[in-house]
Amino acid sequence: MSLKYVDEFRDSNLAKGLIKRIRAMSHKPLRLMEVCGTHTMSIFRHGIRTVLPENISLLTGPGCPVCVTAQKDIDAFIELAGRDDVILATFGDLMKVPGSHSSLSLEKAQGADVRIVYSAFDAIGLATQNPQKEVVFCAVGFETTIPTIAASILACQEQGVTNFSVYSANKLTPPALAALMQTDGVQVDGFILPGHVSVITGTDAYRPVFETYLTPSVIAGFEPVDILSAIERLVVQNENQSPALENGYTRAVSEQGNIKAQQVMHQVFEPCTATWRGIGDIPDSGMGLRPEYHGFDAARRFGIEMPDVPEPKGCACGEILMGLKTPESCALYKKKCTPMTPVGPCMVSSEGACAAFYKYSV
Amino acid sequence: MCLAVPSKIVEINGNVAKVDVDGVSREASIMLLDDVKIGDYVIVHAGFAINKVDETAALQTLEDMRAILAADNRAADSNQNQP
Ligand code: SF4
Repeated sequence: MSLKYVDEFRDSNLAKGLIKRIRAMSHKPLRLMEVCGTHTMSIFRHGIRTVLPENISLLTGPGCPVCVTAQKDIDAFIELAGRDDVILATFGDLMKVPGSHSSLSLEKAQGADVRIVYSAFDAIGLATQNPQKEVVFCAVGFETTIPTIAASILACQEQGVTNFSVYSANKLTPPALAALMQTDGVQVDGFILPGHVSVITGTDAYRPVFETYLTPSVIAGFEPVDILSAIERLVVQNENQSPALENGYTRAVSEQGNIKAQQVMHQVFEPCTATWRGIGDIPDSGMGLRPEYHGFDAARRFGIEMPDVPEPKGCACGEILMGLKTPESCALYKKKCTPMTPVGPCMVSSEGACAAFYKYSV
Repeated sequence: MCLAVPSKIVEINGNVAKVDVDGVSREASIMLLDDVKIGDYVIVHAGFAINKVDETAALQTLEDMRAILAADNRAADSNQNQP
């Protein structure tokens, strides 16, 4: 069966032409970072790493929402799951992430009521079906997901659902890119910018970061031709020393993005400081509930405040998220840490660098 | 979590649309979009349609790429033909 907007962007002749062009033009050593976890998966699935010349290396960035979640937020989810009055609703990727002492799947095995949902909206259904319980949604998302959570909160308010709240560990992309560029040792010659975050934010959201650091940047879709074309543009920008902020995903991304989704997001959430795994606190990089919506804030409702805790010993997720290390350079990779016995979140999430390396290397 | 494959809207009931991808249908909220209609292709993320796919832009992207690659091929051919 043919798929519109997919088949054309998997055209092998276009892909071959782009690869040839990249190989012919690229001379300088280049470190390109794919910011988004969905890109990481697509790059591996389509074997893109294997067709690039040796001078180009791809780094995975801080764009897998589960991977960037701080240890204290994982601990908060586990603490909430442990309450008898709570049904914890979560995306499946969080289940096996080790907290300081447990994980959501261990808690579930021991009787905690933890449900996997596909959307924040599904969690509202759980709340209406279980009026005697408190449903808490683990909100780990970037700009793509935050409006969906905000819309769910607005729907709850409209329907008078009061036994629903969210624990927000939401994060914003541009402040993370800026923090990355300020970190010692980080060297990125080009960003492959996330397609679906950009659908919401638009190209404009990256302009301040781009104008400060002048790092070549291209927004990309998720098919092989999209990704190869973004790499080709980044090669051209680097070889010609002409950094630019380009949009290679115009079929879905505009300059201003989805304004309605932005309005819904900003109606319910406001920027706050957030703690990122491996990176630390970044001002205005999180999205917390506005005072009018504090009633939906699980941290307030249940008085949850977890202490900062160190990340698992020996785990290099933080450095991997900044492009400072690769999974293979982590001493625990494939030894103590595997998808069956994950030590850090990058081995748990399907969008995580370690999980992707593992899946496609064995 | 992120479904990169665009889905086609086949039915709309208030704020909810029935969308189809490769013969599989599911529901998606259209609360975050203005003026979608049956037949539109949308990107669905975590149960919500987050944007419409712009057909003209998609065709333009492909055309631009083909033009660049065709120029490369012509340049390669003319280099080969030189004595
Ligand atoms: S291999 Fe495991 S321990 Fe090492 S960085 Fe990845 S998730 Fe952490």
